[in-house]
Amino acid sequence: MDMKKDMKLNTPARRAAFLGVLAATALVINRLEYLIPSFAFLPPGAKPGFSNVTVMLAVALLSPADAFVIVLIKGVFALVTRGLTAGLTAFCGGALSFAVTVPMLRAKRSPFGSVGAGIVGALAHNTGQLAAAVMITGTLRTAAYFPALAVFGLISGSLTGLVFGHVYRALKKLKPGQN
Amino acid sequence: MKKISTVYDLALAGAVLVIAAVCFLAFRGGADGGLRAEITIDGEKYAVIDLDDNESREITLPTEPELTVFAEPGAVSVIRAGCRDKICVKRGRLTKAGDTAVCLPAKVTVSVVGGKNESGVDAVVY
Repeated sequence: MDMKKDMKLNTPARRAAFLGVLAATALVINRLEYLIPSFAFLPPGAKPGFSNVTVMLAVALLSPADAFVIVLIKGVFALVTRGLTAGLTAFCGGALSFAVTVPMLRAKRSPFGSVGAGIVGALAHNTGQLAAAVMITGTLRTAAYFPALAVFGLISGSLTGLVFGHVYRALKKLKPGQN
Repeated sequence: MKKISTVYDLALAGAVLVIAAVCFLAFRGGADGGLRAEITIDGEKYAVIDLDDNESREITLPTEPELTVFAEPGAVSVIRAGCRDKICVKRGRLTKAGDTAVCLPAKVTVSVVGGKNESGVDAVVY
């Protein structure tokens, strides 16, 4: 058996297995991030959101539908471990982030690099979460968190995009049709 | 995505910083009237506390989970929360106009408004 030629995500079983690994990794990253203590001027509860790197990898190496499965799993995880409001914000943030990440990564000629995609994804995630928070509290003042969240999202999104870019380069050959 | 980073990524970062700065100033603005803490529950104003006077008081909110707000001269904070995450408690002391603490399970926001001493009313409950 020629291992080099065989290493592709070209069967449903392989794709499912890879998706499972990505989803599990997402949950582990989420859990670890939760242990990070909250910083002073940042909205408490704000986390770097590095687990989005798995969603990006799923979009790039599998399909958007597969990536959305990870988004759903993350939302359910938040719902089950942290409660209803946490689950709602996770779903809203994840869905919006997914909606902008897919076109960013699949555009044939995008002026942005993977860092840009990471930034946009992180900011969309924050915006979705904040929108959910405003709807839950019924108060626009909740959006006061936005400036600090935006800067934080900028930094963590850049890192997420950076990691994605490098990991993608290493895993690119798994994609059917790629060299 | 062929490239890892491009100059457009940098431009994007710059734009985000500018927008964040603008929003920051927008929420800060309005030093009208005395320094007050506004508490809203489920979208409705529950109480306004004057933070300019010299009294400190505790207010326990009739919410599920229960929250206890502590108001002192110049600052307000959530000191007890019955929820699991206690994000609002971790927020610490709110001192400047725009500072806000939010509890999602209780649907509560506590924020500071104003900044110049004026009114003589201590607390107003709606």
